[in-house]
This record gives sequence, structure tokens and C-alpha cells, in this order.
Amino acid sequence: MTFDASQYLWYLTAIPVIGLLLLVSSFQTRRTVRALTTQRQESRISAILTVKSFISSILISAVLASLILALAGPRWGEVSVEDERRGLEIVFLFDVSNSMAAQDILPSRLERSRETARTLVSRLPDALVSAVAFKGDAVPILPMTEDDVAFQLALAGLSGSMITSPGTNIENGLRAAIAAFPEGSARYRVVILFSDGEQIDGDVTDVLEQLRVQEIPVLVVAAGTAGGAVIPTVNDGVVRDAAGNPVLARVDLSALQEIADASDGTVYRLGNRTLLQELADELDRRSGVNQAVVFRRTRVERYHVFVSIAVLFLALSILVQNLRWRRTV
Amino acid sequence: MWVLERPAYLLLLLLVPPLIYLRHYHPKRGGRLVLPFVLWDGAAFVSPATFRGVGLRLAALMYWSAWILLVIALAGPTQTTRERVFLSRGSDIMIVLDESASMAAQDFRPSTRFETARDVIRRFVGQRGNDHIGLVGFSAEAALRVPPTTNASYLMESLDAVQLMELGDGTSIGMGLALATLHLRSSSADNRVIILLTDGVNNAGEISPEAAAEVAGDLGVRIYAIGVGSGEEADIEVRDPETGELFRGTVRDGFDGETLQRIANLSGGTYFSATGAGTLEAIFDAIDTAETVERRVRIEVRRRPVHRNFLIIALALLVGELLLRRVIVGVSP
Repeated sequence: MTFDASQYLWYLTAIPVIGLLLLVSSFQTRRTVRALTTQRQESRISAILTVKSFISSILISAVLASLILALAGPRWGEVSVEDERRGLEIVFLFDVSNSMAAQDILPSRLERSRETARTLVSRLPDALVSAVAFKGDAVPILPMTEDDVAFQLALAGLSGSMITSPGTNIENGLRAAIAAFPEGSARYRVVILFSDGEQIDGDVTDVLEQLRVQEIPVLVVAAGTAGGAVIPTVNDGVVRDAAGNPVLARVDLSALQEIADASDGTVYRLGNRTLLQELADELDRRSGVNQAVVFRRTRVERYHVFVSIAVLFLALSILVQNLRWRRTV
Repeated sequence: MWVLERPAYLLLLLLVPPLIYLRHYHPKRGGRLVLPFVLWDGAAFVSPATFRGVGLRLAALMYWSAWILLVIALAGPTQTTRERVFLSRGSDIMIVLDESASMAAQDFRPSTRFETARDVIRRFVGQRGNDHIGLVGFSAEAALRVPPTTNASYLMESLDAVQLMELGDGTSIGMGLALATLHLRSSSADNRVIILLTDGVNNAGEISPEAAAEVAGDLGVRIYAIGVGSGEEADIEVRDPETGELFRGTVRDGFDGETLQRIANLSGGTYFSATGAGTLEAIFDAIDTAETVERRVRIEVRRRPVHRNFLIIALALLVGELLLRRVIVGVSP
């Protein structure tokens, strides 16, 4: 079983708290009943009350729990769908934040990313390509085109100074990448993200879901080493923090892994010798060009199972609370 | 459009009225304590309209709203959009647009040559959904504004941003054509076309229009050469985008029809002369018709499930109801 929006599962931690509240309130009820009734009545009423309130507390907690599970978008079981798409549309998404200038990968993270993209595109004569650069904001630098010359030109202008807003807002970047795919295309869509994943701003939850719904995988090329490196500035210094110590820019794999996982993509390491071959193979596999008929396997959405359970338990709780169990009382 | 994936689930709404009866009106509903009042001597109880009463009513409203939302969520509410998907490769079209100062001449009533051209191009692009269309601007120099792209909205935005005289003043038709040809070189389209719009005589650039047209012809790129201008004296008003200086005057000299004719012939294209806004529109319509390639289109329905919104609200209502009824008002189960 997989979840589309696993962040909702955190809500489950509230269930024990709510259950506890329900129990406390049923104890209070018993005290009230004791005050209002004689001892003979009390023992009979209490017995029923205890059972009823226990069952209905459990039912209500179960209702809330299954609604939370439904909210998280569970999927299981696979179906095959025939896919008529052929060929690729690729958006190259470049992180041009300051940390991309770090030189733990030579000549620099950004420079190597650029070279990788250039070589990759020259190996893909049939793909349509587009390019977006992002920092705090995202700027499309090339619309979807087959024009190899224009791609090389657009990449030549790629630098940290092309966007003034500071930061690394990957949410804006991914949104601009989605917007760069034109409508009415019968090609497979792929985003290739070059980033060090460092100090990412923005809430990607929503945009990751969009990527999943539109079936756009993000192939993430993690730029940087775990050891990190200092960030050079224009005037041959390095970026320092408030205390005057040089800032070390490390690659944040976990953030990048999350993006890849959520969108059916993969994480690659920049600086890996086999990177180009791996990317080329992956893109070839995803283009569907060499297959006669492509079947796409998708996991079936099953949220309604949990909503059904919730509705059933909710109905049961009404019955338990309101139907009499004995003729006495 | 909105659809329900599993409308049969809506039948569950039929359960709601009996359950409401059971929960709120059933005379023998449990959870209440029946006490004999036979010996009661005081005044009768009057149910006062209290905070408690309002709270309970609100709680009931929240509870049953949540019920209805849950049933709707079960029915699978989905937003669908239709999208035309092109299965065949369209043509590649490069528009080579004169951006010299004389394009501001106001002989294309009610507007200038340039604004008219821009409107006509916009309409043309809107009609050709499946083609890769690009834009090259030229005056003293030539520049690639947009490579041939399927992203029509990007093209429109770039077209809107073009300002006259950004590339100096002059007319280098040859450079414009050569640059457009360069960007069509790597194209895989069977049909590749340049549409040249100019109102002047080639007077700048290192490449002659004829040489550029020949190269284009060799690569299989046809050129539609359109001369723009009424041939009469026209007022002109243009602001230099760099200095902000305003130029006013009149222009008289028109385009060089002979050269344009040669450009068209060398590349296997056609030459047109546009003397007014109406003619220019007609020319683009003619090109649109001539360049129609067979296209295979499929209508695809994209589905975006929206049940999550219903679930979130229902969950919030249920938790809110629980808090309100049990904790704030303090009713037992």
C-alpha cells in the first residue's frame, strides 16, 4: 500500500488524545448518574452505560482514524493502462542559488550541471526540451522546443545573477516547470532537476501532488558532495555566517529524495562517472519509442474503502447510542 | 465539468433522514435517564433558550453536514477537463519580423504597421495549435526572440514585449532570414516555413537577403515574403527604448518588392504585398490555408479528483462537533 499524501498520517497521533477525552467525559457522566439515582438503579444503568460509552468511543475513534487514512490517499493493487504517448518533453530545472557556485564538484556545481544537460540533450535528437531557472523565484529561460541551438544559447546565459530574489524556493521552481509543458502534447513529460537541495523554501506538498496527477516524474540530479564546500563570492572571498565562519554548503539528499519518491522519479549524483549513461537509459525507457505497445501500470486509488468504513461505523455509533438494549431502565 | 465516479453511493443519503429521526426524535432513544416526577411539587420545567441549546443545535448541524459531505466524497467527485491532443507532428514556422522605426508608420488605419502585424500574428498563432512557431526580430541586427515552440502562450508574451528600435535602426533582412534558418536546421518537421514581414529595403547586415534565401531553399525551408506599407506618405511617431527620445516625422519610401520576389522564388515560397490591415489579414489567412498539414487529433479527458476537500471539511466538522457537544456543552454519549 502506498499513500499519495502521507503527511496526513501524522493526524493519526491525535486519535489517542481524542479517545482519552471521550473516556474522561464518560466517567463524568457516570458520576452524574450516581448522583441522580438510587443505588439499585445505579448498578444496572452503570453497566449499560459503561458498555455503551466504551463501544461508541471506540467507534468514533475508528471513524476519525479511517477518515485520516482516506485523506492520505491510499493505493494498492495495480492495473495496466495502454499508453499511446510516444517521445519525450523534458523541462530542465536549474537551481541557480548561491550554493550552486560551490566547487566540491569541479568546475562548480552549476557549471557541471550545465555541461551535463548540454551533453544529454545532444544525445536526444527527438526530444523537445525546455529550461527553467529558479532561486527565490523561477524564470522560464527557454520554451518547449526542438531547437538545439536555442537550448545551448539559453544554457550559456545560466548564472546565479540572472535572478535577484534570494533563497531556493523549489516550490516555485517545480510550478514553473509544470507550466512549461504546453497543452495538447502526446509525449511523455519529464522534469530533470539540478539542485543541491540546500535550505529549500516553499511547501512542496501541493506541487508534488500535481506532478503525480499529471504523471510527470522528476529525475533529480543531486549536485554536491556530502562533505560540502565553501561558497565562493564574486570578489574571491567566501560566504561567511554572522560569526565570520565560512558557510559550508552540503547536499541535502533527503529533501531531494522526497521529491523523486513522490513523483515516481529517481535521484542521481552529479559527478558520478556513469551519470550521463544512466540518465540517457532512463529517458530512453520512459520515451516509449522502442516499444510497439506501452502499458503503463498504475496503482488503484482506494480512499473510498476507508470512507465506507467511516460511514458504516458512524451509523453503528448512532444505533449503539440510541437503540435500547433492554426494556428495563 | 464536474462528474461523480461512483454516483450509486449517493443512495446512502437515503439513510440520513431515518438516522436523524433515531438520533434526535425517536421517543424511546436511549442514553437518557427517565426519572419519575410524580412526587414533584414545584413548578414545571421550562426549557430555556440557553447557550446549551444553541450549542447542541449547532453540533447537530455540523454532524449531519459531515455525513452529507462524506457521502458526496464516497461518490467520487471529479473535475474533468477536455484537452485536444495532437498525435502528428505539425509544421515549423519562423516569423521574421521587422522591428525598425519605420514600422511605426500610421498608414495601417486605425493603427500602425507594427501593431497591425502583431495583431495578425497573434491571431495566426492562435489558429495553429499543433505547430512549432518561433519569432526572430531584426532591424540593424537580428535576434532570436523565441525558438520554434509549441508553447503558444510563451510566444504571445514575448511578442507583446517586443519594442521597436530595440535592435538599433536599419533593415538587415538577410541577417533575419539567416538566423531563422539556423534555428530551423535541427527541426524534425517535414514542413518548414519562414514568414518574413518587412517594410524597408535591406541596408544593414553582413548577409545579403538573396544569399540567406538560397541557404534556406537548400535546407528545404520555404519563405513567404510579405512587404508591408501603403506606399503613401505616412506619419510616424516612435520612442527610442534606450534613450526615451521621441522621434516624429513622415516616411515615404516603401519596401523593395523586387528583392522580396527574388527571396520567395529562391526558396520556393510566395511573395505578397500588404498595403493595408485588411490585406495583411487576408495574406495570413492564405498562408494558414496553404500550410495546412494533415493532423491527427484525439480528445483526452483529464480527471482531477476533488474528494479530498470534502473529506477535510467532514473531518473538521466531526471533530468540532465532538468538542462542542462533549467538552464545551458537556453532554454524555
